Amino acid sequence: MYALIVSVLCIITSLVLGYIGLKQLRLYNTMNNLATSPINAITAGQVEVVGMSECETPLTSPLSATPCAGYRYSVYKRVQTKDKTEWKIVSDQKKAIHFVLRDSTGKVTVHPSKAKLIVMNKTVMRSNTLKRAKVNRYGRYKFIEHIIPLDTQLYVIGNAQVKGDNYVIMQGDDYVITDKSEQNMVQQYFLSSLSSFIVSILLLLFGIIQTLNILDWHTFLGGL
Amino acid sequence: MINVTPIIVTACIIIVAIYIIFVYNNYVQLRNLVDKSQANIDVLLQQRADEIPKLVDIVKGYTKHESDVLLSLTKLRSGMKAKGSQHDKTTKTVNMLIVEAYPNLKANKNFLKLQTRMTGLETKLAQRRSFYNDTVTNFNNYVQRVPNNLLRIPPRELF
Repeated sequence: MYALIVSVLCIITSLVLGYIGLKQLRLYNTMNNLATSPINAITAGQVEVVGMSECETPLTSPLSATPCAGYRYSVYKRVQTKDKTEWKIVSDQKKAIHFVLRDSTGKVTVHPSKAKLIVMNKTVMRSNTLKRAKVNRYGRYKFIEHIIPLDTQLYVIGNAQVKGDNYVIMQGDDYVITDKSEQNMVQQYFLSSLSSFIVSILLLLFGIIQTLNILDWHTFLGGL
Repeated sequence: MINVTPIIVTACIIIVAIYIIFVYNNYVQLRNLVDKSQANIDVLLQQRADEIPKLVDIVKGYTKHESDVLLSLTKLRSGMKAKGSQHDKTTKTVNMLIVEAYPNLKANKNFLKLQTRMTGLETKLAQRRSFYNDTVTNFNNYVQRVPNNLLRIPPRELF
C-alpha cells in the first residue's frame, strides 16, 4: 500500500512538474520569438523592449534606501519546528509605481503593478549584520529586498496598450520586468524548463512502472 | 520484473508527438508575429498615403492665400503712389503701414510642420521595417534549423 501511494505521488508530482515546465517553455518561446522593438516602433499587443528606467518621483526602498520604481520587502524569522529550524515569513510588503523606459528612439510608460514575473536586484541582510535594525533578541531575522532599479537597463516583455497619444505597457499573459539581459533570461528558462521536463518524465516512468508492478500489470494491460 | 519496452516505446512516441506539437505551435506564433509586423508597416504606409497629400494641399492653399494677400498689398501700395494729394498720401501711408504690419506670415511655419511630420513618419516607418527584419530573421532561423527544416516551411524575405 505504501509503495502504491509513493508511485501515485510520483505521477502527480511529475504532472505538476510537467505543467511548470510547460509554463516556463512558453515564456522561453515568447522571449525567443519576440524581436526587441525600438520603443518608437511599439504597436499594440505583446512587445519586447529594452531601455533605461527613469522615474520622476521614485520610491525609496525600505532596506537599502535606494531610489527605485518598486520594491518587495520581506522579513523572515528563524523558527524552530519539531525536528528542524526554518525561515518563516513575518511580513511582506510590495509597492510599485509606473516608470518610464527610454531608448535612443523614444520612451514608453511601464506599469509594473500587474507584472507576473519581476526579477529584480536583491539585497539580503541578516539580523546579526544589520546594525540599525531592531533585532529581536529571541530570534534571528532575515531581511530580503527586491527592487526595480532606476537608471538601469531593463528588459521588459508585456502587452502594450494605447493610452491617450502614447503606448503604455500594462499587463499580459507573460509580463516580465528584469534587469537581466535577454540572453540570460532565455538560457535560464531553457535550462529550467528542460530540467523540469526531464525530472517529470523520469518520475512519470517510475510512477507508471511501479504502479503496474503493484497492480499486476499483465492483468492490467490485458497481457501485453 | 515487468517488460518495460512497450512503456518506453509509448513514452518515446508521446515525447515525439509533444515535440511536433511544440514545433508547430511555435511556428504559428512566429508566422503571426511576422504577419503582424508586416501589417504594422502597411498601417503606416496607408497613413502616409492618406495624410501627406492632405497636409500638402492645406499648406499649398495657405501659401496661395498669403501670396494673394501680399500681391494685393503691393498693388494697393503702387496705386497710392501714383495718385492723390499730399494729405491723402500721408493718410494712406499711415494706413498702409498699419495694413502692412497686419499680415503675419505663417506659410514658413506650416512648411516646417509638414517637414517634421513627414520626417517623423519616415523615421517610424524605417524603425518598423527594421523590426520586421528582426522578426523575419527569428522566423527564418527557426524554420531553417535542424530538425525543424524537415517541415519544409519556406523562409520569408527580408525587407
